[in-house]
Amino acid sequence: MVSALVTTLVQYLVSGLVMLSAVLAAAWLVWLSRDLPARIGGARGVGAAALALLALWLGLVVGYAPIEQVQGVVQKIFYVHIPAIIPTYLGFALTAVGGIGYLRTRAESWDQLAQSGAEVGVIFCTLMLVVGPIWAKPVWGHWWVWDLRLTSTLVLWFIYVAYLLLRGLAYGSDAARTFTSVYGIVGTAAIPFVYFAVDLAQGSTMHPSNPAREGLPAEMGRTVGAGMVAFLAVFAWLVARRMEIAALEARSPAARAPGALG
Amino acid sequence: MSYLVAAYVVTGLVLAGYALRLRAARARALRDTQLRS
Amino acid sequence: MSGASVARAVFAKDLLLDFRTRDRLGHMAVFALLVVALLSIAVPASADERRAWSPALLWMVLLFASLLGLARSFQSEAEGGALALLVQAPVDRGWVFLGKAAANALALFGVALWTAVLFTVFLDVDWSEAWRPALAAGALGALGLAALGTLLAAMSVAVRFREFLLPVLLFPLVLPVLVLASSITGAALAGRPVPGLWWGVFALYDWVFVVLGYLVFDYVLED
Repeated sequence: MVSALVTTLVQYLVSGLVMLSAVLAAAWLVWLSRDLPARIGGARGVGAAALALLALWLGLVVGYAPIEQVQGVVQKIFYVHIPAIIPTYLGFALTAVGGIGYLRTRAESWDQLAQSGAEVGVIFCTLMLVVGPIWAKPVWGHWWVWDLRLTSTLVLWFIYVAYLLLRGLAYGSDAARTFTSVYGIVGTAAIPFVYFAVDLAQGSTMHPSNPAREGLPAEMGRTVGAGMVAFLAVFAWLVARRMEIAALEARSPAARAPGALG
Repeated sequence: MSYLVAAYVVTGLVLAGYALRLRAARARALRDTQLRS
Repeated sequence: MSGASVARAVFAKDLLLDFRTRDRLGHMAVFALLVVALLSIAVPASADERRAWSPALLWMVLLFASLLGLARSFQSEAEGGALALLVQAPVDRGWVFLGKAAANALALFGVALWTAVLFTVFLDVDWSEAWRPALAAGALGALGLAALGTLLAAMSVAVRFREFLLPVLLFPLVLPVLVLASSITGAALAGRPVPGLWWGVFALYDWVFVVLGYLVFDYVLED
């Protein structure tokens, strides 16, 4: 009885930890953007933490997480697919926040936050769209399945790409940052509606029903939780570095096309 | 099993690849600003 | 000069332009006709399949036709001059957005009605039992499309490759319109009741993007 209670408590601890990490990551990045040159030093620590967390997560995946009955070893793709979700959404959140900040203050640092959030967010979004099919093929026999999560992630990807395309095409004009700020805001605002629409259109879904609601086995919960925190750290570090580059480029005489990192 | 490996390898390559690009861009940007000053 | 009167003025001007020149409306109508005709020739579906696909197809046709109309919304030379004048008006420029979006919404609603007629003629869609929910869906959809479309068209006018950019920007964001409108229309045609939740979300969507458009248009016009 006590052990069951402890297990439940640990489950809440894990999800609480994940949520806390997400909030912390977002808050740190916004704080960082307010005075990047002075505050970027902390990024090194975040990077080191990210590496450590990744090592922990991989260890858990290989050694601790159980082999699932129905799907076999392949099910372990779960631990790399799910952790990519929060960074995908966080990218949008940063883009919207940066957009609002830029429109109100016209400070470039807000726009740099938005741009970095979008660039790193699209990477995690792309990862989901690549890893999803790699998981779907052995489990369901098809590379692509029109289920709720994969489909809505695809539309999210289109929104990201549209944002980056707008940024690229508008580059050079004064309006570029204003326009991308606006699109970042409306794009993010559309997300809950997109999710609802895809759900409505799908009717039934092929996606594995959310095991977290059905009660994920404790070992799985902790492993995927570790993955989520690790990916959040990676996300935060990547966005911080991207912002640093944007800030440096803004000071250098060489004009660079956005997103063209070389 | 190969699918499993593929998923993790792809993830690693993408993230590491992007991190490396960032590092190169950062070095270049640092050089550019230093040339200026 | 109040904000609302500015909105009314813009609305009236756009509408007058639409009716006098019949360019925009005419082009959208002809485009819809062509597409529906092609669809009905090329799609070898049974009557049942046609009925199942019609709602979504109708809204796809409308979506493509809307691109023609929305791009025009900010493109004419007179437009540039008129906008420049309006920008100087001492009111919140969000009202200009409201006027333009309203004109676009009305135009799109008109094209939607026309397309519905085309679907009856070419694809044997029977609206007699379903016309009330379908009409409401048409109105909500036209408004949603117009709100986002007007905002994005205003931005894309100033950017390269605007014919490519506008659909790329617009389509992912208006997916909810497509799905909600065709779901409601489909349910109505099949004689099934439409859940209140769908209406609620649809109305919320329209409200969110009309308000957002109003709030940010100021910034868009500045540049």
